[in-house]
This record gives sequence, C-alpha cells and structure tokens, in this order.
Amino acid sequence: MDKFFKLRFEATKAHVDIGLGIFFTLFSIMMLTYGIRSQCSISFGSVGIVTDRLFPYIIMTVSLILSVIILVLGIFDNRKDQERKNAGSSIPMAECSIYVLLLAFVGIFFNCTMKTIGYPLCNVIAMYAIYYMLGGKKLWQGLAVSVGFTLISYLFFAKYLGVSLALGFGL
Amino acid sequence: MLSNILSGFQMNANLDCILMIAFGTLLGIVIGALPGLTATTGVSIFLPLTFYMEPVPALGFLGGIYCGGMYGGSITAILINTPGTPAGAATVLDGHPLAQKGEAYKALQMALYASVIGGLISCLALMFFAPILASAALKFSYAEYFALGVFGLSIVAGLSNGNIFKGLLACCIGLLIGCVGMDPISGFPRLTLGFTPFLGGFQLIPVLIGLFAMSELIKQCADKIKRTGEKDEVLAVSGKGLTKAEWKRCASPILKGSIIGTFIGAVPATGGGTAAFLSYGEARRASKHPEEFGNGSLEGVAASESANNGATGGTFIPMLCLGIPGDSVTAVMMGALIIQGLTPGPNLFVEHGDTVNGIYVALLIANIFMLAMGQIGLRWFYKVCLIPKEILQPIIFGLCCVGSYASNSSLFDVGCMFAFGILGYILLRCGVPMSPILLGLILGNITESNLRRGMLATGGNFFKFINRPICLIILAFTVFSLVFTISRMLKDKIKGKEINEEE
Repeated sequence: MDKFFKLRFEATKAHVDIGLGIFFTLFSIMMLTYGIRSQCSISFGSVGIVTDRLFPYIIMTVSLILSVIILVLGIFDNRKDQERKNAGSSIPMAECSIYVLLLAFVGIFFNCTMKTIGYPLCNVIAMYAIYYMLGGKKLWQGLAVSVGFTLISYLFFAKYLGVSLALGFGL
Repeated sequence: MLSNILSGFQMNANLDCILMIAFGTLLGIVIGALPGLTATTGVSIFLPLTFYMEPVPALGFLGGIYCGGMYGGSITAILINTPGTPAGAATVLDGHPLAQKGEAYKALQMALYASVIGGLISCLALMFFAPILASAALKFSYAEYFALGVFGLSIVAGLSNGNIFKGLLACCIGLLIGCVGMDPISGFPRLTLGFTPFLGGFQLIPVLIGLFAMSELIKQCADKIKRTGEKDEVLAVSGKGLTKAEWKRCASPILKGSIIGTFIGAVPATGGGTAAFLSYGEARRASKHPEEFGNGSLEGVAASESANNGATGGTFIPMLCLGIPGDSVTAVMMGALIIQGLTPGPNLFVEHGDTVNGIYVALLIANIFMLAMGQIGLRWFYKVCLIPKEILQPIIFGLCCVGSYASNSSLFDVGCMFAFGILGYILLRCGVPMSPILLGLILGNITESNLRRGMLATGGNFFKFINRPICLIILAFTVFSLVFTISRMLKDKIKGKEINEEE
C-alpha cells in the first residue's frame, strides 16, 4: 500500500509550461468567443462598452496574452532541455503526487456523508484516512487523534460558537 | 499619536482581548517552528476562529500568529538547519553553524531579542506613518482607487517568485473567480453557469483555506510520503547565554535590521524574507568581522531576525492605508478585516479609527508576549518539530474542514475549499503562485467597481477618466515596475539562469 501512496506523475517543467499555456490559451479563447457572452447579460444602465461584460473581457484578453507568452517560453525551454539532454546535464522536473486524488476522494466522502452520518463520525473517518495515508500504523494513535480532535472541535464550534454541526442519523 | 496609543490600549483593555493575543502568539511560535507551515498557512487555518469575535481581539489574535510565526521560523532554522518559514531562511546561514559549535542557546536568545526589538520598532513606525499616509489617501477618487487597484494587482511581480507571467496569470484566475456571482454595479448574475449556489460568488474563507492551507497540506503529505524513513537531526539547546560584549556588537545590526525590515515591509509584495536577506547583506558589509558571516556570526542572526520581524508592522502600512497587502500574510489578514465588516483603505481610519488604534496596540502587545513566551520556552519550543506529521496533518485537515464549514454552515463551502485546495496544489506544481490569486480575488471587486463608476461618469471615455495627476503617476509607476520586472526576467532567461518558482 505504501508503494501506491508514493506514486507520482512526472514531467519536465518545460512540458508543464507548454500544457499550462495551451490550457489557458484555449480557455481564454473559449471565454472570449462564447463563455462571457452566454454567461454575462447586459443590464439596464450600461453605457457603450461599460457593461457587465467589460471586466471579464479585459481579464480574459490579458489571460490570453499571458498564456501565449507562457506557451512560447515553454517551447523555448523545451528546446534548451533537448540541448541539456544532449550535453548529459539534468533537466528541471515537476511532479504531482497521487495524494491529490486520494485527498479529493476524502473530500467527496466528507461532503457527501456529513449531513447523513453526522460531523463526528464523518470527521473521525476522514481524519483516520489521512492518518493512515501518511503512514500511521498504530490504530489506537490514529483513533486517539481523530476522536480527540473531533470531540474538541465539536464542543468548541457547535456548543461554544453555535455552529450547526449535524450529529447525523436524524439527531 | 499619544491619544491614538491610549485609545488603542483602551480597545485592548479586556481579558478576552489579551488572552486571544497571547494564544495567537503562542500558536504562531508553534506554527513557525513547524517546518513547512508558514505564518500565512497559520493565519488561514485559524481565521475561522475569529468569525464570532470583535474586530480588535480577532485581528490581535491573527497578528499574534503573524508575529509569533515570524519568530518561530528561527527555532528550526537554528536547530535543524531548515527554516520554519521562508522569512527564516537567512537565519539558517549563521544560526545553524552557531548551534553546531554548541552555542544554540545564544543563537536562540539573539533571535528572540532581535525579533522582539524589530517587531516593536515596526509597530511604532506603523503608528506614526499609517495615519499620515491614510490622510493623504483620503483625497483619492474613483480614478485613483482604480489606479491603486491596478498597482496592487501589478505587485504580483513581487509575489510570483521569478516568473512574472505565471504570477499575472494567477492574478487573472483570481479576478475571474471574483467575477462569479452578482455583478457589483448592476446586481445581475454573472458566470454562474445557472448554478444557484454560485449566485453569492465564492466566499473568501473557503477559497483562502483551500489555496493556502489545503494545497500546502497536500504538498506536505506528498513530501512526507516521499521522505518516509528520513529524519531531521535536531541539535541540542546547549551553551551559555549572551554576554554584554555580544549585545554591544549586535546593537547596530538589530537597529539597522529593524529599520530595513519596516521599510521593506511597507513596500507592497516584498515581506520578511526579502527584508531579512537585505539586512543580512548590510550587516556583513558594515561588520568588522565579515569573515564570520556564514560560519556562525551572532550579528548575522541579529540582522536577519530583526528584519523579518521588523517587516510585520511595515506590511500593515499599505494594507491598512491603501487596501494593498504588504505580503501574503497581510493579504489573508485583509480578508479577515473584510469579514469583520471593515474595508481596508483610508476611510478605515475615519470610520473605525479606534479599531485601527486597537490593532496597532494589539501588535505591540503580541511582541511583548512573544518576548515572555520565547524566554520561558527557549529550551522547549523546538520539541514541536518532533511531532510526527501523521499526527499533525490530520489535525490541520480537520481544522480546514470545520473552519470552512463554520463560516456559513454550508457544505458547498467545504466543497469549494477542497476544490480550491486541489486546484492550488496542481497550480503550485505548475509553478503558478497562490498569493496573486488571492490578491486578484480581493482587489478585483474594488478595481472593477471604480473602473466602471469612473467610466460611466465620463461617458465611457477611459482617457478622460485617468486624466488626473495622482492617477497617472500611480499608473506610470505600475507600468514601469511591470516593464522592469519583465525585462529582468527575460534577460535572465536569455542568459540561461534557472528561475526558482517554488513558493
């Protein structure tokens, strides 16, 4: 299981920059041509170009210019990486851990179950999952941390501050 | 000024307030001492605790975390050669060699005293300069506010660690996120995808916790898994205390460091890290023993620590007076002010003068608490970095979840927090910094409102709208700083210099 948690996606920084540039270029073009028009209406009282769409148009135009520059610089870096590779020197890398997906699952679990099974149980399970994913092996230690924290946070937020934290199971 | 201080003391003269400042300072030192957790993360995580507080204890609590966090970073810098916070990086250069020589106690003492003196001097500067700047800024109209907003957004150059284009792109992401919801002028829904919860826009707290705390948590967890089995070597807190001669030798670097820290802190988007390295360089230049720097010089520790804590008060000056955060921590604290119903800017001094005075004094008290706590815990605080990450990270996770839920009792906010945490982590891996996103989110509304109001008043003529001297000066300065940063970055790239994009 530990091997699975250590999984990570790797790419050169230049490739990451190219990907980032392409994504935001396409996104900006989509917003400029279709997105803003369909999602922002022109309200009463607009004068000339001063409408609800003005600011989003400015943002997306700047974003388009920037993403093209990032893309061009990424291509430039990629060429340099090839030269580095030929010279036998190391290439700057970027990595993304599998952890991001696991945490997304924990987040989805927390969001979907909090109202039904309640904050205390949901939080204990989510915290224990994080403890386990981080390599915690002692069951009692994981439970002590998650139950202890949940109890304190419930008392503080729900009882002291009056935040409505669901107990679950219709309670 | 004296009446301001007295009014500030009155605002802080209750047990709740004092206890919250003390608690915040203690938390800050602990967070700062934990490698990987910065003052920004600390303030983001504990921000939800302040929802139900009055503004002064709330800001005092967060100010305590900020000041304590800046000092706490030096503990691990000295004892385990890893700065607890980026601002403590300069302290490593001399602090750790001192600890290796068996003089860790002396280094920790110097770090504490220099931090406290730096913090106190910067608070006094804040009390003196902030009202002057605010009264000048009161004369500003739409055009100047728009120019200030653009200037604030352009300071991403300083927040984007090397690649300004990615910093500016992050800013655009923040601005776009800020556009979701009701239009600030017409009140019509905008970019909501027809999804009702988006009508209110993204709430600041979940976005903030997601970007700064959750993304950092994912990064820390990934690093922890990668480094399973590796352990940091913690040096013992050994040796004697400071002598009079050492005090005398370090007095000048402390004083200079405090002034440099305050000044650099007041320049938007610089912060404690830059101040610490500048002060360190100046102390080495002026020292009679420059050869000792890098090999365990107390002057080096004094210079860097006084400067990074000196920046704490300085960063509040542009934030309180102009509504432009001095660094990423003050960007988060600006969010805290907005949540309390206070809009940073010159009007804050007119409408909530007592609260502002209370914030000054709260920072002053936080520094005094830092001295007392630091003195008592000098030999013990390092133990917090021995807490296993598998215990610490689930607690941070729990705080992020309950904190983002508590703001509106809404699971949608928790979902937003997770979504922004994951987005933040992916963007961080792509070298896109987080602070400009927050800056865009906070300043977007102000900039757009003032731009559109101003342009409506001039019938849509932008040039008429900016035809005011102060506005033109601010815009010219913005263009100059952008052109300068871009040309420097491109020159470095052509020369083949590696750009460090890590936050």
